[in-house]
Amino acid sequence: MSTLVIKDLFVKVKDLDVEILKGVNLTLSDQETVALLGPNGHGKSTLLSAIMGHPKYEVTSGEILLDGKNVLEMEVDERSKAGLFLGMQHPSEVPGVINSDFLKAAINVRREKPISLIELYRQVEKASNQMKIPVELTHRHLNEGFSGGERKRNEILQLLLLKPSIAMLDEIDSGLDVDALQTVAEAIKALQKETKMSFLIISHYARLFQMIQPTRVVVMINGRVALEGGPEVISKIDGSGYEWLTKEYGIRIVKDQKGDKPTTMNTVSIGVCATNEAVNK
Amino acid sequence: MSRVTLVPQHGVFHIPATDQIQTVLVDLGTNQDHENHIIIAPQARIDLLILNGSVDKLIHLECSEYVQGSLQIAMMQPNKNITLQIVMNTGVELDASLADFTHGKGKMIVNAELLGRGARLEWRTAALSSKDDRKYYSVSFHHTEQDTYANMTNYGVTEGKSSLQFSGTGHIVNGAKNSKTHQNAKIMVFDPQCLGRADPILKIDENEVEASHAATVGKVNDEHLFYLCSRGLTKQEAKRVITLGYLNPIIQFFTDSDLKASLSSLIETLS
Repeated sequence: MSTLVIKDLFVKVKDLDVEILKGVNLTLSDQETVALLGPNGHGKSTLLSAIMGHPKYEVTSGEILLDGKNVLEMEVDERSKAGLFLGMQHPSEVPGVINSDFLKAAINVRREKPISLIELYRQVEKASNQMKIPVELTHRHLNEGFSGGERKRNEILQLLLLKPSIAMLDEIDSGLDVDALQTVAEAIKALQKETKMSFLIISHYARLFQMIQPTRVVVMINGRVALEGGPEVISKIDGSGYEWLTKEYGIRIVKDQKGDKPTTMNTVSIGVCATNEAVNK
Repeated sequence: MSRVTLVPQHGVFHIPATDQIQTVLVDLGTNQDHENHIIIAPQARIDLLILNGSVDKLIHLECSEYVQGSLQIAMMQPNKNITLQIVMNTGVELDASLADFTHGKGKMIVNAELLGRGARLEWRTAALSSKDDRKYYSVSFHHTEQDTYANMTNYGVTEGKSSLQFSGTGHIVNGAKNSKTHQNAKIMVFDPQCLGRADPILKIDENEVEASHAATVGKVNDEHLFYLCSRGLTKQEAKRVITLGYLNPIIQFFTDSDLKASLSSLIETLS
């Protein structure tokens, strides 16, 4: 369906001028499921965010190509419409925005004719059932007041509805109980079976990967791809951590990758509180 | 819900008390008088809908003892200069909402006199200022009797080259013990060339009272924009969705279905 190629990618945090990715090379081919592993703070989430075009990050050099097209020249929405999807580690609460209105808008930007309300409801109901979340959740404000598990399942619900060609999932299993993890894994497996979607999945836990059976494993250390291998790498990391990479491959793990930690005060922005209060009055 | 459209008698709109809650519409666009008086009879239960006109207005709204209900003000025509004087006598309880999604330049001055013991006013504003609009809203509460309560919540969005200003004043005079005055203003600023400003003021001349104020002026949350755009919405569409989410909640406080629809379509058109 699609191929994503990342060539010698360097990325820094805009405000801090800290380089996080230092020459990432990675190719994600048709119908692959790639497990992306690595210690905390070594660039996994930054890589996915940079691919999606998060404004916090600046690509200083390198290329990202989706089926030969230059992703770096695309706006965030264009990347989405081109087939990229990022299931976020911490999905934003967007107060005031009704989940179903948002889903409708997201579906319609991919269609020539707007989706009918009946068809929208049918699709949302089916995806909600698949994710084992009440369809009423889609009538609430986007992610507002959702539990951690509901947010993650809502991310996968969007994945089911939008059907991108490349799904990047950032710690989609964090905050999920055993049953919810099973539900998410089943949804991914169904997409693996029924579509040509490719997956790039970050997780710190072997359990999810045991369920969805990745075709390849990529380990990122110090802002680069340090190792590629088969599923056996997951078992090794799960049993021994990352230190064995130093012993076996001589890869020195730099502990201080502090780029994601802001040292300046955030600029003021309005979000959660304002509309909450307006609605709850 | 049936509603009565009120016509003035000798320049005064009289609202009588009835056994049931009555929905009353005062359309200020139907007369060209600068000054309009609305008098609500004691113990009336009302939903009072006021539509603005196309000329500057000075509105005197007198709520007699123990009036209860809502005041719903919808700006359906470009905003002119409007001054609203509200007199609240003993036991009056009023829930007031102002929605302004029109284009234009103008001022809205609201002075609420909480003259009677136990008078309570809940005031909320939702305003959109876009293109080259210039909008200014000033809401003042004057607590002159004991056990009075007033709270204002003003929300606004400013975009393009427009400006939007909220000024809020809570004044508790000496002797108005156990009174409470609160205010909160929030303005979302979308573009670098627009101006949002909130000025909260408290004047407290009595000790045994509660008072608070808060004001926030800030840009739209970048994470929200990114999240919406990452699902395929353009920045413009994402801003529109966020604006709708910010302003739409005021509509739930309007009881008339036609008015709700008109306000919704105004937001849809403008944002």
